[in-house]
Amino acid sequence: MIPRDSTPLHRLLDRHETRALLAHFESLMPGVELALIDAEGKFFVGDFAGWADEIIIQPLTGVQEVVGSLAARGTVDANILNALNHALSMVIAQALAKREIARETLERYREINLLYEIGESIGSCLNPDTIPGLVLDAASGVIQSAASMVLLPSASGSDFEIKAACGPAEKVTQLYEATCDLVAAIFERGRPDIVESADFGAILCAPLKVQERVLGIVVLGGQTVFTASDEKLMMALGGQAAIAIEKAWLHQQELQRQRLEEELAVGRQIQRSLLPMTTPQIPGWEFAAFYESARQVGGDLYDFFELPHDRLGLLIADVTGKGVPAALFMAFSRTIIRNEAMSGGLPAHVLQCANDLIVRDSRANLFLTAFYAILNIETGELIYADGGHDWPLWVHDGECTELATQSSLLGMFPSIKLEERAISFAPGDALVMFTDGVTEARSASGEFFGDERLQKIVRAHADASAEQIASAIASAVSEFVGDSPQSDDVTLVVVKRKIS
Amino acid sequence: MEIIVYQAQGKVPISILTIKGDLDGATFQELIAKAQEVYEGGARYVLLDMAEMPFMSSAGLVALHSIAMIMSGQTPPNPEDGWGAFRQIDRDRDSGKQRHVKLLSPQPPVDRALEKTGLKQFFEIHTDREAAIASFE
Repeated sequence: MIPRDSTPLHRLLDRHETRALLAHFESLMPGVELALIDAEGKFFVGDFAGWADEIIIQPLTGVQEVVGSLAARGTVDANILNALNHALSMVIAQALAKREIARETLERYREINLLYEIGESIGSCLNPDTIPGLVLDAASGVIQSAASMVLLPSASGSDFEIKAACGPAEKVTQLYEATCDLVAAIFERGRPDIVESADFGAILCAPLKVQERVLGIVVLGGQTVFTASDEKLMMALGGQAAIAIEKAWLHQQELQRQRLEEELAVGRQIQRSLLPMTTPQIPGWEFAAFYESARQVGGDLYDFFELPHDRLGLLIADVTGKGVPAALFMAFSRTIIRNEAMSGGLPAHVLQCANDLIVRDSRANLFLTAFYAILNIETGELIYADGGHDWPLWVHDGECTELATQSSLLGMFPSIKLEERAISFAPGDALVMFTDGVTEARSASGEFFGDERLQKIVRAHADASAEQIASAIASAVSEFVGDSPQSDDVTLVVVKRKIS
Repeated sequence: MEIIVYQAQGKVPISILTIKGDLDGATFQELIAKAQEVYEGGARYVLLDMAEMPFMSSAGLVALHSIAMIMSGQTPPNPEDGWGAFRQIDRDRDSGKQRHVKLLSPQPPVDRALEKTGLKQFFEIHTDREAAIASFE
């Protein structure tokens, strides 16, 4: 706003023309001298040396602003003097109107220029944290204030946080405390307001608004009053800022989504790289494996490895945790278990040694469950131990039994003791190993797939091939879950001894 | 899941955390946070009442382990923080079970999970509330 002191006469009247006009009126009233005095009492046209005689002074009528007075010396004809006053006032009023238009045009220009600059600087800013500061910088260029701040709702949404402030700290604090209720009201209402204040001349509070959504509030505490034009300007500024903030938020969300997607992809990649590409091809035996990762990889693993003396190592494991940390922990655990297994130890020993190494080395709060078995492909003897993993199902004579043992989770406690057992795998027998992604799969109504449902399917397919058993379970789980999101990896390994 | 905290007095002061609802990937951190809160309030012995907890996933195991660590004065490492210091729970040398956290009335599916994962070797399990309170020393 341009300060509105009295406008000097020389900006309103041409001195030469005014002198001519006064001379003309003097000729109408012989013996009379006329002069024009400005607001400060100085002669603009004419000069009454000495001020000895009686002088008539008339303020210029018809002009709201006091710009000067008409002075006359001598025997004055009141009608003529009034006519002169009227003529001068009209000229001045027109000049003032022109100035007002010029002033408004200048203000409009400044507003447009400001909005343009803001559009440039704020619009190109993709960091939502720096936009509030830019808003205050822009505002301070056109509206004078003692303190100003931009507030956004806090994460909890219960109050507002100062995101940027301008002015002495104590003034800002004062402004914040004085406007708590006002800010909440403007945030609710979405329209600006100017209120009187004891500490500040006035407070201007405007929403940062995109369409009908209010994202935040800008508050200015002024030394003097604010005008409707200031309010309008702040609304325009707030609108620009709100668009920019929203754009920056969307940009950040997009970045975050991309990072998450990348992490998910990395997790899946690690996971996939750990799983065997094929199942063993051994005469008299069938092996089938099924693995489906959840959106966020759960850290499931299965593995087959050839051991000396016609024996085959079978491993299934699950890490408690998700994403890249779980996938990395699984890679680490797999290496340890594989190394122990390759050195020829029996299952309980392998898992116990692996546990000790994992406990010693693991520094993350991640654990794993693992079932490890050694299958003698000649005799059909299966020796196994369980490290806290879901007990596999053994199909023998059409019966389905859990291979229950005294087991313990790996990586949680040092020096665990695991039980080791053995079964004799007869022709026609099957072994179904699975992870909790199978039994803990949930239907849309929240029901678990559960052990019973699994055992029922396995019993029903007792005579089927390994491949058929695996796919029957996988499709039953998928059907059971329906459209609800799969929360954990689903892994199945089925071993079948063929009837020769 | 809802967690209700009661205070009981045995030979030592005991905080009973009653868990209502599933303890799984969506809720386990809430339980750990609650345990941390009672630990900061001075609690050192916790009885986890599982009578109204129908299900516990593997994430629940992480919670049990973390709570045992918290109550024995150790900071459970956060997997998100990467490779922080990691120490194991200080188990009682005689029983092999730790003394700070005990479990009350796990329901059959939860009991089965505790059995399968071997956690029964490390957590004392009680079915009687008074006996459980009296067992802390």
